[in-house]
Amino acid sequence: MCITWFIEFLGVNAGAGMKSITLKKLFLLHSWVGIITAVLLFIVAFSGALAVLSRPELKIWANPELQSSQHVASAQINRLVNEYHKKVPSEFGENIHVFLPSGHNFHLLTLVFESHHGDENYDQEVARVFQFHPDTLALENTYYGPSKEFYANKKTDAPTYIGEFHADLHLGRPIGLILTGFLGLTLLVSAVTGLFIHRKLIKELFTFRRDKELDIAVSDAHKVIGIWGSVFNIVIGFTGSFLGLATIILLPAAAFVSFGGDQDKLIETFTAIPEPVVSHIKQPTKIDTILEHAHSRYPEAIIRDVTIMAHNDANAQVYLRLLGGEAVASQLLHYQGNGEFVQSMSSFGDISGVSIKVIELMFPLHFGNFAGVFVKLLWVLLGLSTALLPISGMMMWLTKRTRGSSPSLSMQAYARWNRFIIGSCGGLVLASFVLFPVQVLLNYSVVGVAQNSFFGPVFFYTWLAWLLLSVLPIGYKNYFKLTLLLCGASLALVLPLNILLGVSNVINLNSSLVAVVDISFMVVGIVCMFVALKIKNTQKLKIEVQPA
Amino acid sequence: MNELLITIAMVSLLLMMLNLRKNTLTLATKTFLSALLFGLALICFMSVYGILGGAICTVVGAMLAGLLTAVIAGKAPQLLG
Repeated sequence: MCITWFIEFLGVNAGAGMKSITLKKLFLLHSWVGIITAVLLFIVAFSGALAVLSRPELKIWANPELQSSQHVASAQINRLVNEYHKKVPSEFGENIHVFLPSGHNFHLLTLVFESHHGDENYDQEVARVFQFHPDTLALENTYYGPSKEFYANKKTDAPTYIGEFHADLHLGRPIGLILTGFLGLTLLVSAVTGLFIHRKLIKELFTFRRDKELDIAVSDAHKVIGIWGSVFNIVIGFTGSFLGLATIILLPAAAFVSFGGDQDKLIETFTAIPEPVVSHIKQPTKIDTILEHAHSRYPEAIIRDVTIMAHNDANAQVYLRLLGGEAVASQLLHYQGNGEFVQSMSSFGDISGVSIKVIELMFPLHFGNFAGVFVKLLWVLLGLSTALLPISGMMMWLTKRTRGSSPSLSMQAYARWNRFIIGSCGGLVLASFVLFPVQVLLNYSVVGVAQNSFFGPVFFYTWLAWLLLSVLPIGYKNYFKLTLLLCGASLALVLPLNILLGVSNVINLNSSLVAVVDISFMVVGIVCMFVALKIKNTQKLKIEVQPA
Repeated sequence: MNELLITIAMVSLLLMMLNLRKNTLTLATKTFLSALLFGLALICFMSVYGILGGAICTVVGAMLAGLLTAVIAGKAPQLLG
């Protein structure tokens, strides 16, 4: 019904002439939105495709501490919480967070004892943190200070860096979030207008003429990817724009409409974990019983973190955040301190209504993290196809302008545009791939949080250097070939580097995940280099086209 | 078991796409076979990922299967043309 209304709204049904004019307008909208945002859309889509695997798979690969074990016995967690609760002042027992080493949060088992009202040294929310090795449970790190600073300065790694780049392009918030949210909207517009302007949807479902000239193959690829990926692109565009703009624009707007502009009231309404009333009656909080119950109730799900309110008090409340299992959206399990199960609810709390169910679904639909690795691979492949759409569209737009008796684009300008696309988009791919061998080197030579300072410079300087290279008058085919070769070499380097320097590798098989990731990097790297070597260089092509 | 079900589901979707691509079959046969294969994929995915997760996976899997069929096999030869 919506589509019929949209068609009528656009006037597509109002006669052949009107239809033609509307289609022309839609085509113009599709072209210009695509041209203006093509490079940025590629950047967000490609980094998003990589980010799908960043947590937990690539995060475990990147952190040797997580490779040995991602499971800590419930009894040990209970013991550690009780032992360290005794070591902190009483006000820090108000709110205890246990971040399990699942590859979704920290690289170590982390206990955060928080005081919401500060202490004698701080007027703000303050935390005392203890971090343990997931396997040996040895104390690795401690922290005392403002909570915000602890979370802001936590250890990062290559996959997390790429994931965060996808979220806000490392431009900070709100600017980065607004930009990525806006790009989600442009993807949505491009996908919808693309479906309307392409009138032979069914007929050309399988039309891909790869044996024809490059421009025909690119045009076919653009249409085939656009048609088959349309639903995915619309969903990703919509959910992406929601995730980007929700906290910046939608939250203040909702607060303005329903809460008289009071954003804190709105957040309080949608917060699933309320402050408990402390009874001051001692009663042990059965964390181990609760964890065992959650494991048996949802055996396929991963427990990401545990929040304990009023620990060892008769009114203690425990909340477990779960991901995966049979539920598509993430779940929040609520228990009483004595181990009694209260309810399972969404991360927004026990709020009824269809709209909250839709909002809940946005996260797993965008991240593809509601099931196992297979679903993630579907998201990665379709995400990469989304990244190819703006590039193929831009290539079609450029090629069209070099054709005809009076082309609007000279061959020199065409070559410059191609170099710019390779420098910006290929540069991003290269910069992302370089981070993986760098991660192996850093794991060998730099300990803990000190690694954080390396990712930004390596990533952005590699990208910038490759983009600046596009200014030089080199053949764009050679430039593309070199980009692919270096991308392939970067990925292929990971496996031998890990054999030489890594704790887990394909020889000792300490971690099967590391072995699989290393081999996958090697395969993708070899494919990149193989394709690169297949590309004929510009000089040869020039000779070929010269008349005899 | 789950791996087997996922493999059956993806093979069903790929066969469905090859069936859709084929231009020697009548529309009724195509519709029947496609519905059958899609249903099989849906059942397999639902037994692994639950009702909602299975439905989402079937749609996304079908999109990828269609894309792969188009890129690898291309358009069917025009036997009737």
